[in-house]
Amino acid sequence: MATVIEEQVPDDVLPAEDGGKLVAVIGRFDTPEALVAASEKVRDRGYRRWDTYTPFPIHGLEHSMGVPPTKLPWIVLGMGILGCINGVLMQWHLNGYEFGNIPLTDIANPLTLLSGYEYIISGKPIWSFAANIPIAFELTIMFAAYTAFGAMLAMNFLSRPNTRLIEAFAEGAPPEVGIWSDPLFDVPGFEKSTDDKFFVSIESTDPKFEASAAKAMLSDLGASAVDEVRDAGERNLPAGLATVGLLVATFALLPPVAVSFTRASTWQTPEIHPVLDMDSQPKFKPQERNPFFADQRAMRPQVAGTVARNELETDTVKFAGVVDVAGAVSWSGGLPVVTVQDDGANPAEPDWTDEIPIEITETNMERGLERYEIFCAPCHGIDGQGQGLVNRRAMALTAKGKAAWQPAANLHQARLRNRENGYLFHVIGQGAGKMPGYSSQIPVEDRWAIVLYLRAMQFSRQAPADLVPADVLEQLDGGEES
Amino acid sequence: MASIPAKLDTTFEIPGKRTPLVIGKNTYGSITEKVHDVAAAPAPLAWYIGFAAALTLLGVLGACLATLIFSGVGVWGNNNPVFWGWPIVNFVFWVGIGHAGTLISAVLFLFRQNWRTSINRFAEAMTIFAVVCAGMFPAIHIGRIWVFYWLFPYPNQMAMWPQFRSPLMWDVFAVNTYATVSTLFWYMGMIPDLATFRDRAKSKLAQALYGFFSLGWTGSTREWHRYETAYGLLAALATPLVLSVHTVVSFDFATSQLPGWHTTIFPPYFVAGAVFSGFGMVITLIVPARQFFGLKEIVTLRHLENMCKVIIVTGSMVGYAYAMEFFVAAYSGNPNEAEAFIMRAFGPYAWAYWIMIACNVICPQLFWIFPQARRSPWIMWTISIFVNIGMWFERFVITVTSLSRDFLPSSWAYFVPTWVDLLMFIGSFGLFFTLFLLFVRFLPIIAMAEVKSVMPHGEPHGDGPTPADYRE
Repeated sequence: MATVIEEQVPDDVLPAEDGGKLVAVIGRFDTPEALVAASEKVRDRGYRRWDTYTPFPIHGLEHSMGVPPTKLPWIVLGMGILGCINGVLMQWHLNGYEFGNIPLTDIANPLTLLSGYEYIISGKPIWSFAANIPIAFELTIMFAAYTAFGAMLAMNFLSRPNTRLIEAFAEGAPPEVGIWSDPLFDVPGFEKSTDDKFFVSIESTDPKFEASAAKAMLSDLGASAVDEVRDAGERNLPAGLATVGLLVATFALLPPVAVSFTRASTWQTPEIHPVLDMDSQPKFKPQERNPFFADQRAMRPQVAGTVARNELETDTVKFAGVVDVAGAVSWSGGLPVVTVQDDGANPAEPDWTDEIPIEITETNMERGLERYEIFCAPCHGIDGQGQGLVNRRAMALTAKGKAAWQPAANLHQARLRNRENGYLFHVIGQGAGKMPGYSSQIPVEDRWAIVLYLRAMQFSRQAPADLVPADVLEQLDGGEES
Repeated sequence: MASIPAKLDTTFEIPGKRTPLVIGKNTYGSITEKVHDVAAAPAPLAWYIGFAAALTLLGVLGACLATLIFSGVGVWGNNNPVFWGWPIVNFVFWVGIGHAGTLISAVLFLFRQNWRTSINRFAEAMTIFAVVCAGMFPAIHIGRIWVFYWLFPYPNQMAMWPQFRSPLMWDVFAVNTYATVSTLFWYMGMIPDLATFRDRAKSKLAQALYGFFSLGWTGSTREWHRYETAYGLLAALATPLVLSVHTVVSFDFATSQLPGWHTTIFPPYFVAGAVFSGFGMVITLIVPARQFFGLKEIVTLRHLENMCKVIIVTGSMVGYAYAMEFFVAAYSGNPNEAEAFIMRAFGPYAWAYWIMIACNVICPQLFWIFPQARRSPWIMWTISIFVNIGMWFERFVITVTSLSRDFLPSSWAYFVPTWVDLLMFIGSFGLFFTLFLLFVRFLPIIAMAEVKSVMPHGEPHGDGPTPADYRE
């Protein structure tokens, strides 16, 4: 039966030359009471696909029309429960569960980013549910409320009779079709439906639809005006919207393109750093003037009557490299001060020790080698001949007149070979000539270890061949030949 | 007609004889026209003056924000021991105001209080703009505002997640849920009215914009049915939400160990205070608005009087809470707690405490002592201003007095705000009023569809007065 009806399309549903295909017949009523009375009669005549349009909700009208209750509350309930579960699981995963076998420092591993992070707060259990209730509650409300709004809109769009949104989607029509437009809006006087008039529309898809009969019925029911709703098939966006949209989209692309370009490029200058965080903080550096103090020095001298760390060390041999003679060493800020004039002829030279006040072991020797290669070799060279990388570079620059450099000493020269251990220790700590002191970088024990290694290195240059183990000697000989 | 007096009491609440919700010779069409005219007719001079003032204050706020961001939070008076100064006071103040809108819309809707229809749109808009102001303060209070997104759970290179057991984290979820759900509620309620504006718009641009935002609303009964179901559901969801949000805000305080904060009375007491301040702000806004925009027949004295009655109730609840706090402190036997409250009332901040008591507890009582006070718009407007002042001081008293005197006398100090604190607070009113005045000019400020649905229609029964007989 149904197929037969569909095939017999009445003449007046065919597209008219002026307005397009007839989709409904609509009648206007002036009061809500007239509308409700008319609706009940339309329902009683057996129409199924029809609707009423009112400027405000008329309670009970949906019952008069026979509209079934909406399923919306069930959707909202479901999403609310989902929101609650989501809230609980999210908090449990992110705060209550760490992936045990992944170090959190390994950020290249994507699992690291997804691992939870267990906070220990006041010694409470990692998962203490009472404290997680507020967020679970808020997420329940959030999911449910968004759903109430979104599902209502979606159901309304999908059920709109005259725009056939589902058909439009099926045909691949652009999504704007049917959301903002409706053939009803072309009916003159329909704008009153949001003001003070009430409308009944009988749709052409109703099995009982017949345009002339529907019009007659609406007039009989007291409609003050009866009109045809015709679908011209045009769903045009406002003129210029496409152009504006294209322009906006183009300009919106610029920032990401600029960022990508910048990230992929190399730069000679420091990268742009818009947020300085705490990079520049007010502070005083050594040697700066600080008006706060009476003497205006930012560096503060030791407070009178106090003792600095290490200042109570009295072993002058170990800490200053000087045989203990009263007055030979003074202490300042925990460091021994030995006044030396480095010309060798000055009778005021202190009495340098010849001891090495650490144990002479292979461990200490290797420690000395390691420290030597870190701190001394850059200038003095790994072999001690004063040809370290820094020295070579500085000499090259000096040759071009771009630097002034006093060459690093050759540690194998006779003058240094013959100096006391205490003197070498002193120079490592306090410096000599242009060489700065390293006492702040190299602790006392390590300085002695370097002295120990230095002595071994110096000796290796002068040692008789019979002291060298036979296999090593072979290597040396082979080296010389090749 | 001669037997009917020229002016009937417009505040009648006796069942069966209640004043109609819309008075005067109004029809559905005239309601549309009056509300649409607020936006469509040329704005009164007062609007331009108000808007200029609001924009100026907004500029002040912008300058203060720039100062804050470029210089750091040291520009505020916040310092040891009062690390929560005015920014948090202002946050709680604005969030509290932001509760009346949803309360009027949702709670009164659920209780079928039809008088809400005239004021709910107004109150909802106020809610959203107040929440905008409120959200700003904790956001800037975090110090490094450019990393505010650390508040949200997202996978990051630090391999860390937010600490969900912190009340401050609850705040993030509560305020964001509240802001978005209130906006949805407001917008959804406005869709049919935006469609009315669309159908009356003259210019192409207005047609396009109102058309876009009304989402093709046709007013079909099937759509109204789903719409009303969704509206009821949103109201039912927003009601526990509105209570939870201020509860969570009060947890920020109550879960700490500080004397004066660590108390279980905070959640209900904060919620009552929020409703109280929100209704105060609605009256502050609506009394001038109905005057300037000719809405006296839609927002009648009966509406205003009902709001005054809510203020009496909530103001008394707040007063009861103030008294109960002292009882709790005394009964707890905790000397620090007792000391904190004695210091509140008689210590260095006694001036603020007594301003709060005078504005919040004493002022609203005038509404029942002198019934005339709740029937005269300008008297109630004045009282509502005092309510606003009092509620700001309530938050100041709670936040600052407790922090300034904790357990250790060595860490006691007196809080002094800076000019940035002051201008930023004043500037937040600029933000609020700028948004509000734009709303008044461009959006339907009365929920037309809802007002029409509660309008008296048809012939009056018997020989009682008709709506047209009522005059203010």
